[in-house]
Amino acid sequence: MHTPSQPQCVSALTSSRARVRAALIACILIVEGIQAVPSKPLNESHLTGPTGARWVRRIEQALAVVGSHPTRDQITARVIAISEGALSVRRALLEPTKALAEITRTGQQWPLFASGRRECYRLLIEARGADMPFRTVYQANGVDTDNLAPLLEYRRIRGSYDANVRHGPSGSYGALVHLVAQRLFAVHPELTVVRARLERLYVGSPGQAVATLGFEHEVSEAR
Amino acid sequence: MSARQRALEAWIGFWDRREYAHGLALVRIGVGAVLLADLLTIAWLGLVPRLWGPSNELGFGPASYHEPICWFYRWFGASTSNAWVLFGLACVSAACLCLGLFTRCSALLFVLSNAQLSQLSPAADRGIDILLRNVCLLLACSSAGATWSLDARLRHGRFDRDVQVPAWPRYLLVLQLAVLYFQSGMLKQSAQWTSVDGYSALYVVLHRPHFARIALPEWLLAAAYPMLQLSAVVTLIFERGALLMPLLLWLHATRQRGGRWRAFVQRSRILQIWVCVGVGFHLMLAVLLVLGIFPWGCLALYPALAQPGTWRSLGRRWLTPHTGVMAAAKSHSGLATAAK
Repeated sequence: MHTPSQPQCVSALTSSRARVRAALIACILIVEGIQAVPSKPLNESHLTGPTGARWVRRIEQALAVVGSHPTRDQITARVIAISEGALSVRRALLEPTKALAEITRTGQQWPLFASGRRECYRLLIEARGADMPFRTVYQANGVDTDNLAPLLEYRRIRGSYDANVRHGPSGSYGALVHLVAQRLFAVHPELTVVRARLERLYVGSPGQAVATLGFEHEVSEAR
Repeated sequence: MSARQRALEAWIGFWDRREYAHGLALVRIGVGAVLLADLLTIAWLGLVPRLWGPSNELGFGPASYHEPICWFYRWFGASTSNAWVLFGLACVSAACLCLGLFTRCSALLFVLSNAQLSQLSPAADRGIDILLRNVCLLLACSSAGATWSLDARLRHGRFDRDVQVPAWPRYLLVLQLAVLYFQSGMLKQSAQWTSVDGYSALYVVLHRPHFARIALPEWLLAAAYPMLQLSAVVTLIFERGALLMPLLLWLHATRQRGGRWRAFVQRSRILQIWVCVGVGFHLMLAVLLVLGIFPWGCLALYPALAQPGTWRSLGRRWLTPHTGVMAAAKSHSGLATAAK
């Protein structure tokens, strides 16, 4: 007997509506399951890095148990081929639902904080007046003389400058610097130039100070 | 009846279950509030024309007069004023979703308008935006507005109703959370998330100036290093273990049937521990890192993990005139009147 807090089955065996619903849900689960397959193929750098190499070693050991002894290069090539094959199957299977996914912009790819690289950037914004040296107006997680933090630390804006050390900042980085410069020029009539730079940092072992590896991606805006 | 037929009927019966609407209603309220707060932040920062306007005007994104990118701009023209219209639609639909007004239409309208905004500024669209669109699409198909909503008030004369609604949207929400965590856990393969670099990922993340909420002194981070390593391992176990969460929920929900596994789940309290770790994990993220709505958006889905009857009882306790908050408020106002 069902208590009120427990789910109840309502004539599941006879309801054709229930059958249609169950079929649709099965389809949705299949589509979403396929969407959850990683959308980027593995490449050689993935498998030659420290973690990837460990996986290759494990595969080598597992194959040795069943009497197969391919080289690590062969295993790497095979894994990459399988990954690329899986990706093309994924693409083909998702083709019929592609339009719906595009209209709703939904998906199942969740690489949340997947990378914890030790190299990263720190945004630095400086400004100066005519014949004056640059002064820092904003340094991520440090200086903020003009209350730029709410704007620059907003999650949708951070994507413009929070660069991957391999690929650099996004295409809207210049437009963001322009916006910041406009705001600073409006408040400080004496300013003539605003520049943004990304300081490359290296996070060392515990107890070691974060090392500076120089400044990159400098963009300047003149009044 | 063959085994195949029995399995089929069990599958149909499982997705045809009904339950109280309170769990879904809480998810609806939480998700709507988080979305609305995020949109209002954008307006407060003056970012609507920048994020979604055409590049010929003030926009950062790829849309322009000649390349409108999304169908809204294609139909109505690419302009900053139309970016405001689209933004307004998203705001109104998020507010209606939170209040439970025209719930299904609001949820669908939010998905469509937010998807257009996402196309206009792909760099500004993060994982949490995709997650909440997924959830809103699910809410649009659910009866999340059956209770604790203006819809319930307008149609039936009361906010709190004891109506039973299809349970499958809540089951799919649980699966969504499981997929989110599991995939996220499996993709954490960089050296810092493994023993190769000593599970140093959280230590490294707390040094990243664009993510850390405050610059903690190095001596403190060094002292907390073993704890951060342990937290990284717990994060991986929590995320990768999420695949078992739907099974644990099922074993918990069917505990009356007995058996070894159900007894183990009950005795070990593994499900409650998993949920507490999840809540703690997101609250720690909210305190230590600047991640915007991510922790709150994920926590807004957690009511789906509890039996809806639990939320119904809690709601009754808090909102009924004799026992809950309303009683306390009444007695307080009574005291105030007596004092006068």
